[in-house]
Amino acid sequence: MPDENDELLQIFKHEASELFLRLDAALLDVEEQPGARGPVDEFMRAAHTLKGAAGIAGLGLVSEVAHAVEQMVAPLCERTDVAEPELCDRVGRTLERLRDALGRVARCDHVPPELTELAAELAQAVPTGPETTTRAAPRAELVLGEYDRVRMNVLRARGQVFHRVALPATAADEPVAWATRQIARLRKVGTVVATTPGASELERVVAEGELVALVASAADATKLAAELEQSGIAGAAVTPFVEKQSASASARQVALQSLEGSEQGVRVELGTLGELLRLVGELRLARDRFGLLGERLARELGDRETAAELEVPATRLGELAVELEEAVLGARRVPVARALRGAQRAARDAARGGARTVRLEVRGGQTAIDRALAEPLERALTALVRAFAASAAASDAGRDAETSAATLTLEARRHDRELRVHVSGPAHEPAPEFVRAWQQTLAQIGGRLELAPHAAGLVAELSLPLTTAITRVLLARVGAELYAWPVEAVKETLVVRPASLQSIEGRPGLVLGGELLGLVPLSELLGGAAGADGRAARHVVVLHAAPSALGVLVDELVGVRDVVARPLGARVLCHPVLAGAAILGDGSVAFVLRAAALVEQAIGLAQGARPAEPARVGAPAGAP
Amino acid sequence: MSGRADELEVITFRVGAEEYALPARELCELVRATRLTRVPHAPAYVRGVINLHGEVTAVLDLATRLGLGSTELGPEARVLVVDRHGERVGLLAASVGKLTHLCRDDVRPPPPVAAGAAAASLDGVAVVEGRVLHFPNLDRILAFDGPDQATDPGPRR
Repeated sequence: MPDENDELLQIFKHEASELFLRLDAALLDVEEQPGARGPVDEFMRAAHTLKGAAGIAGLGLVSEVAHAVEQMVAPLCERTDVAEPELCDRVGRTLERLRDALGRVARCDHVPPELTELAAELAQAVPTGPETTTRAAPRAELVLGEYDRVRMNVLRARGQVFHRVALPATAADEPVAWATRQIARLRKVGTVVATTPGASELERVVAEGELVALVASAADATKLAAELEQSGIAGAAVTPFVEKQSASASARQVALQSLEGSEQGVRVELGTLGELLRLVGELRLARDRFGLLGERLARELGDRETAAELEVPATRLGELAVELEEAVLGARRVPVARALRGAQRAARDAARGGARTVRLEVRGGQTAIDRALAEPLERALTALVRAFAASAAASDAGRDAETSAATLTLEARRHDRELRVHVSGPAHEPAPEFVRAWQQTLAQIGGRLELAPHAAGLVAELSLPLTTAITRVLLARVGAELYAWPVEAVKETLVVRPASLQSIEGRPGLVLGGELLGLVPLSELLGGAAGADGRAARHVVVLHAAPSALGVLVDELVGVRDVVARPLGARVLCHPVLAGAAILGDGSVAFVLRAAALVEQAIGLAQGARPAEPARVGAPAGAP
Repeated sequence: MSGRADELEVITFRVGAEEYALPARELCELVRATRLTRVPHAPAYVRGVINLHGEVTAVLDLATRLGLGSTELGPEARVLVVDRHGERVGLLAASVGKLTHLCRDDVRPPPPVAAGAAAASLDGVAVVEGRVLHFPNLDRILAFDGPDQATDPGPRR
């Protein structure tokens, strides 16, 4: 059975990935707007939340590092004579190391050496200042930060009510473990807005005799007490929460409420937006079912008139679903500029180590992308720019006559349903294994990477879908089953005539655009599960994938559809060729396939051996 | 619903030639076994996936998993949906019987002479009106990391 702490760790990691994005964006703003207080405050809020959330998850060292980061940035709150670029650089590196170390934390009680090392370095380098906020709370008094109040407003708008829950501490247990367990249980019955002692000071629980939490839920006090009992929390005192506000706190809350309605808006978790998109997907399915019913009405009962009438609300439902989807997707988007911090740092680093400076010129930084893709995009762009910049710094090509700097250009733009980022400059092509590793990594999220010579030296084109929430797929039939590929993975489709088939080492192939294209029946690639022997297959889906394109033979091409891809939760469904599943208009399920994994399968088949299973998730070897 | 603490309400179902039972509280849902989508590269006991209220849910053939052959997708076939650690899984049964009330003490450990994959995956057995009810150990059956217990070459459809 999964441990509560593991569940908590997963929740924390999800929250942390959001917070890292906020921290990166705020740091970028701090750097670009020297002396401006807004970005510094935003950074401090996010760092503080990260510290608290890490404490709740029982990750004491992460909490310590987040506290050290707060201390590093704290001088900017007081003075304007701090050298921001150097400071931002140092903070950015620390965040990057923290993010990497956190990625290696497998359990709440697991401390990777990178994290210990980072915490130890910071403990020496950063003076331990006082807590920068109101966290040093008097006993049993819940103290709320501004971010807590914003969360409360959102929760209130969702019909949640707030209760103060006091849990008597037991001295028999290890305090942090006990408190962490209690908080995990509280989270099962509601949203924990704040706790006293604060998340990073849970060891004080026994000394103070109790843990007090502010819990939001739809239940009244009696019902909440019963739910707590059921979830394993005995003896809790539950009372409606009445906030004692100072005049300034009240004014601040009013100000925050007004901000919600203006330019800042309400913060909504990515998970909530994902749930909204799932519901939009359900609406689309309902629209499709209307269409199918209309067809049946006309075909089986001959009632074309009613079928035509049914078409009107079905079409309207479809239009509303599209509008709603656009609105929700809009809320998930962030500017690409947020994902460029690492790339800018990589360019600066190369300049320090190389013979000349490297300048990164950014165009199209305001192009929007799904927030869920911002992190993988940042990792890929950082790696690419690092490779380009190292090569440019060491080379004489493309030197600016006055400054002797080499210029790299990064241009982002939207192309149909994709984000395309071009990185170009006086660089040599990186090692093939580097390129292949990133091609495979990007393929896992529906992206591509291509490199080509350019007038300036080299150009890399990185493409990503604008969102992971809705996937446009090509559907093909093999036997009785339907399979899907994201359209970004499909180069083209062909109808194959037996006369045009060639033999490539005993296997079928085609000459396409002067190049040989290997053909493999999809049924073979899917281990025979597709239910057809491949002999009837006459249609070819040509997939772009590293290391080569592949022609997949299918029985029929069904068409292009927008689908909401569903994850395959069950472990028995995990296989590298399966990217997810889509529920179609008639309620049936079609598997969404990964082009790169199919190519691996095909190579294995051609070599006469069962292919080794490629890595299922995460970056392949060689990719950061 | 069971009224007394020592009473156990179970649902009975057929797997291969044998009758099995699960406590009714373990069962989330019972659905007809239609429209199974085959899963590429899955073990033989994974008969497919179904769309269960918008979630893609794996359906395991209990007979194959227990080395008792494979289940025909006849009109009587049903999928028993259970929740294991937050993940819904469907168990394919050839047919489903009625809700039956037992005394908890009626469920006994399997006899030591019982052998084979099925016996190793049992929590216990009970004799009710001359019929033997097998109580599967779902944690063991759904532990996917172990070796595939299937002896059947593959599911029939």
